[in-house]
Amino acid sequence: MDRKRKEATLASLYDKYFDKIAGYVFVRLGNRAIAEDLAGEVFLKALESLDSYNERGIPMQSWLFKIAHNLVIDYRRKEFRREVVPIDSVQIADDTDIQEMAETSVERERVSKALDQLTPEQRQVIELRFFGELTSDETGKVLNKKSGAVRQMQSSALKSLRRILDADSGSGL
Amino acid sequence: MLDNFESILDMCIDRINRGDSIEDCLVDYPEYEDELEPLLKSMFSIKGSYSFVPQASAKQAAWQRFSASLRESERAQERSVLPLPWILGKARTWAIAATIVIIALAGYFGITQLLPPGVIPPDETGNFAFYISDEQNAIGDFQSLDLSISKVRLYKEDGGWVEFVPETKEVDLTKLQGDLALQVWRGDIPQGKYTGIFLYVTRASGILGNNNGKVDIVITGNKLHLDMPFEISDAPLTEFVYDMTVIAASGSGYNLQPVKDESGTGNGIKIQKVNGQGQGPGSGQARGSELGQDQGQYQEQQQGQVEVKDQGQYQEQQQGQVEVKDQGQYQEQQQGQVEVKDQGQYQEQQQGQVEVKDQGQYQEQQQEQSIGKHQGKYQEQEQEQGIGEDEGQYQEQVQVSGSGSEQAQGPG
Repeated sequence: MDRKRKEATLASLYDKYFDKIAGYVFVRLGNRAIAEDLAGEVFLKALESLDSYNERGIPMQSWLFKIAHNLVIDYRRKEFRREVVPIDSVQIADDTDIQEMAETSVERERVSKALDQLTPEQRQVIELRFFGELTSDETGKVLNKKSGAVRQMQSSALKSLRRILDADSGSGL
Repeated sequence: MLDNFESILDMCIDRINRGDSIEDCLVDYPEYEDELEPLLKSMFSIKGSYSFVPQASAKQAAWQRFSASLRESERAQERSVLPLPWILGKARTWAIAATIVIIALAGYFGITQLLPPGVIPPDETGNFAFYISDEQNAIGDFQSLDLSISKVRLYKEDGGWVEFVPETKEVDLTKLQGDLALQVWRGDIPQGKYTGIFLYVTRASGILGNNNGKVDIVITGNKLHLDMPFEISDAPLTEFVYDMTVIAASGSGYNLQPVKDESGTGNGIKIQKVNGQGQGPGSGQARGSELGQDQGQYQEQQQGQVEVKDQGQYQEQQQGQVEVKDQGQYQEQQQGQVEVKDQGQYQEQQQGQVEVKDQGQYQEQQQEQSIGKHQGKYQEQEQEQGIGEDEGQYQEQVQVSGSGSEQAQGPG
């Protein structure tokens, strides 16, 4: 694929995958502003590295998530363990239900703790499948695993998550 | 028909990602309903807890940056296209010519400074000078705070951008506090209206005072975005100050953020230009009267006798007699007699007699007599007789002659 076609393909993926990449980064870092920022950075990085992309290797959307994964790691390396949120980046819409926000936050904390109890590979599969919404084939390309291995990991991960969340809440989800 | 549960679960996950409901999947696989339903409900709940839709404005802004980069990439490709048959016919000639061009470019820019296409090269006579400065907040916590700046992008009102690589890439913000600003680049920028600046930072770390160790500074996305309209006109020089500040965050972290109020090109933006902190062209404007022998930049308003032998940059407003033999930078507002033999950087506002022989950096506001010989960095606010007794926050080892010795670290 020549450069121009690669650029056209990358541009065509923007609208659909910006949201998915932002969602993937959000679940990993927990900060909306950073998720939006890094999602934009993924496409810029992809454009810079486009000459090194080989379409016969992995699908371009999988490649974008590899870039996103690396950017998240880079970000974490420079970050303190405690997450810092600049006060002016916290925006609450006028019509937001504060109680609903609080409940969501509690639920998110519960799910986050459950995800922490998975193996790193299981967690990556869940993050890419559920939040990046990649297929198991595309996920396998990102993680250098066969799609059969991905399906196996997502099944065991989901069963583990259900057990953990059931035990935590005392009732089924 | 698939009889592998994991494959069926995989397909249902794809369908839910595409917007199908749990019921839609269960209808198609009734024999697996008991196993599937609880897992799909867990998936639904997990996705819902992290439900996130990016803001339209953020997505649009990112698209503008991406499409601007895309256009620049296309222009770069057009510039690199050469007629192929003629090249093949003149291969040897082109090889020689290309070698000459590369050698010339390497010599002009320096072999390590060949710039990628689309990046504006520096020019000492250019119409735009870019400065870095620091607004004091938590900077006093640091002995040094180093930034590595890889590039700067100026965004145009029409959606495009221009980019340059600073000639001075490494800056220590502790040396650029208040009005002090360091020129990191000068060159020719296209005239027009601009909407903001991104400063790309590859490294930001500091060493806390009192040997409290090294800390990394948080910068979101490794770049600082200053959302500020400005214009580059046909004036010979537009000077832009990019002011930033480090603030203590929750816990033990620090954030670095641009400061809009202290940034820009307006007349209200004060610049005390710093020399010698790195490479790059030095530009200075001497304002005020000159007495003595000095090198550098200064602003001097004085009444009285003064003998100045200094190198560096200072702002001096004094009434009275002063003998200054210093190297470095200082801001001095004093009334009375002062004998200063210091090296380093300080801000001194004093009334009364002071004899200071110090090396390092300090901020001193005193209203009484102070005899001190200090080494190190401190902030001193004293209203009593200051002989080894000071209030405020500092990190230093102070030895005061004739009054015993004082060694203190941390908040006093």
